Amino acid sequence: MEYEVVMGIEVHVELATESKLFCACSAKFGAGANENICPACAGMPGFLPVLNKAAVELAVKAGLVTGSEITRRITFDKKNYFYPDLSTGYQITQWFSPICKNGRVEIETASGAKTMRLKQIHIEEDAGKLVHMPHSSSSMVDYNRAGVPLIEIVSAYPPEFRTADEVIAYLKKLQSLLVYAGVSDCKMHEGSMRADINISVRKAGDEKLGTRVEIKNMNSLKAIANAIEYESDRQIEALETGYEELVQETRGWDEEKNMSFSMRSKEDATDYRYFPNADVMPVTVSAEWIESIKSSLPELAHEKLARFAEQYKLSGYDAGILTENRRLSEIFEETALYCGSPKEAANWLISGLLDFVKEDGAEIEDIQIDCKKIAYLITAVLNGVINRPSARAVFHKVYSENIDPEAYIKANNLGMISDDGLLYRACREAVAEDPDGVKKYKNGNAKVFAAFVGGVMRKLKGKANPDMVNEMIKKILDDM
Amino acid sequence: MKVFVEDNILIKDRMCKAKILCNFKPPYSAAAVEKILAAGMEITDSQSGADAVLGTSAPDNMFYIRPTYGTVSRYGLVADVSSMDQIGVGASNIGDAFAVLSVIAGHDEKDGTSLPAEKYEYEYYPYEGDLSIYTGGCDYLYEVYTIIAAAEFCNNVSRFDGLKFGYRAQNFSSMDELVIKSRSEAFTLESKLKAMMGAYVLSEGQFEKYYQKAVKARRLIKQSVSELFLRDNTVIGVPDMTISYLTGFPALAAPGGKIYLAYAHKEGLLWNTKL
Repeated sequence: MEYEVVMGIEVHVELATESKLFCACSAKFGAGANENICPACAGMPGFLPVLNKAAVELAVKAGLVTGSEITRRITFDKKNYFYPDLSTGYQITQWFSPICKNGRVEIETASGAKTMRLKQIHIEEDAGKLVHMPHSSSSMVDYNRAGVPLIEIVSAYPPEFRTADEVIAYLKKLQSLLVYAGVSDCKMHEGSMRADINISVRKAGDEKLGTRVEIKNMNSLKAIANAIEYESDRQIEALETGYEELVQETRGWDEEKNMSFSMRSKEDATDYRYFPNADVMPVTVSAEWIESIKSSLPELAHEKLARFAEQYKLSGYDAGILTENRRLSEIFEETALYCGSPKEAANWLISGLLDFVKEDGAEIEDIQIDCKKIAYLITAVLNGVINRPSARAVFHKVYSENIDPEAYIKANNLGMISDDGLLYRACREAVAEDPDGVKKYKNGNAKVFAAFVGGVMRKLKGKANPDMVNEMIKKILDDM
Repeated sequence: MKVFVEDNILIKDRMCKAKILCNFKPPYSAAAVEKILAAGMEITDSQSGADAVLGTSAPDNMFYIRPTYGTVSRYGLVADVSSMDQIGVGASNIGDAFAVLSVIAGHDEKDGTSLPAEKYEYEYYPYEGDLSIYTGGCDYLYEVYTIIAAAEFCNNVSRFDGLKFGYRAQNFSSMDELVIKSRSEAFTLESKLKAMMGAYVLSEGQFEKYYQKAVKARRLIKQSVSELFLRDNTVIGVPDMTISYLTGFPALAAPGGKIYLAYAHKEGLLWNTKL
């Protein structure tokens, strides 16, 4: 039996404002527990919400980069539920008039291009955080995050996602659009971007949607991909075997065990009793305001991609990788400027820096690197000062320890050996030490050639000029 | 001038009398209190010797002015019904009431519903025109008021849970029990009934039947009162404060229990209102 997986996504993104949505407290991540709070954050009586206009502007930006309709008169509502991380007993959100409607996000996957439609984007405040104390039955609450402005981006209904690839491509695209536009830093590991996935399966060809499960608490793209795979398998197996009855529920994701677990069923669903918030006056989003927000938008990823391809003569593929992330695109432009060779800069970043970041499990947004140092290394290779493998090792030192590459090459004697006599001696030795290899080579096995080159490199600690070594070994072998 | 400030208007470090807020020591004063102090007026802790009273309801045997909604900042006022809450001034002498009101009225950026005018100069003009009693043209005036007031009250008191500040019950075995016990022991029966009704009229299935209908009726009442003012350019009498609560128009209560709603007057403003 063929099954189809059907998914919808709700993405929460923290807006990059200085202060919170309805009070003057700092909205920055990383402060000590309850350092960024005021009586309003703690739910004390007598405090009134005063709307942060910057949050509205960022939400409008999110709408503009997703081709959404902008609502011209927005209001705020109260969503009632009880949980200690919510100091007032309600969350201020937009239920009746979301700021953006009917947007779209263009994605590309291995199976082609697809337009994912959005139902709406609305503004709301974040809740605090509960910290469960180890070896104790009590929990502490940290209200730093309480009141931090969020937008929730809701994908279209009926749901349009069919594969994990589409979901990941969509989240990456949203990340790129929103980071470029300055709406959010979209750091999943810090919780400034969070996704809930609604997932159901149905027999291929069926019109009717299957029983829907919502998965929460996934804080990386990898976790999301794993959760989708696990959950769709679980649901298909349940339908196939009948061992488990599927119920509409909310499930959490356990990253360590790599499995989803039931959190609450539909019967436990809260009645949120949404109603208008009388403390926040309706806000008119005028055409002039939208126009001025539009004109303040920076160059977006797709525009930058086209410019990179044109201005730096990069392939569409390379330009695509370099512009997927705003920070990377900035590192590229600065490096290209200093070294004067955009093509080299692109290669070094794509198959150097990105590898380091990946190995580290770091996020490219957080990378602080001196582009002048990268440019120095690129130029050093082009001028024959150091060979590529050594340069890559130095590049890694620049990345991880911010060393000065010029001093480091000198101090560690990494300069490339281009001395004829020295190289020639090493090549002769390498060939003489491996008579078997010579025989094979003479019998037409060209593969052993690389072993001779490797032998020379070992003798000279990887610093030999590879072009000269190739040439010399070839000559020595051919003369034998 | 000695001013008494009712319990629901916070004064820094003054403990609240309500049981649910029994150990809550406010770390700040209401904007109106700050203005009273800045004007050199004295705050007294007993109503009997006071020249004027700040509060949200009319004291007995006093003139009481409830100004237009949004005139006096609600910052520091414990919220009851957010869309109706408005600090007013009571005094035995109507001139004193207006004098105090002139001090506390004016824009406050800490209250998003505060009207933009920075300062109001109130002046009392005796009114000698006709005064017919008006009930807003709505048969369900009190029902409309009760539904909206209950809904907003229920939401506003949801922050009182015994977890963060205020009354906390003893002997509990779970968080839910702590909250339930604290609320059961500290809220008055009247508050409990009001909160239950509020939760009901906002709940799924009831929202459209009650809350939404009441909001629509409220809009119509406001429209009809506005039209009346525009047409007659006068003062209208009402039986109690309910129309003022629902419309945000100012009201004045006289010691005999007479209440009238004031707007514009031919010979000048009864008092200066901004809507």
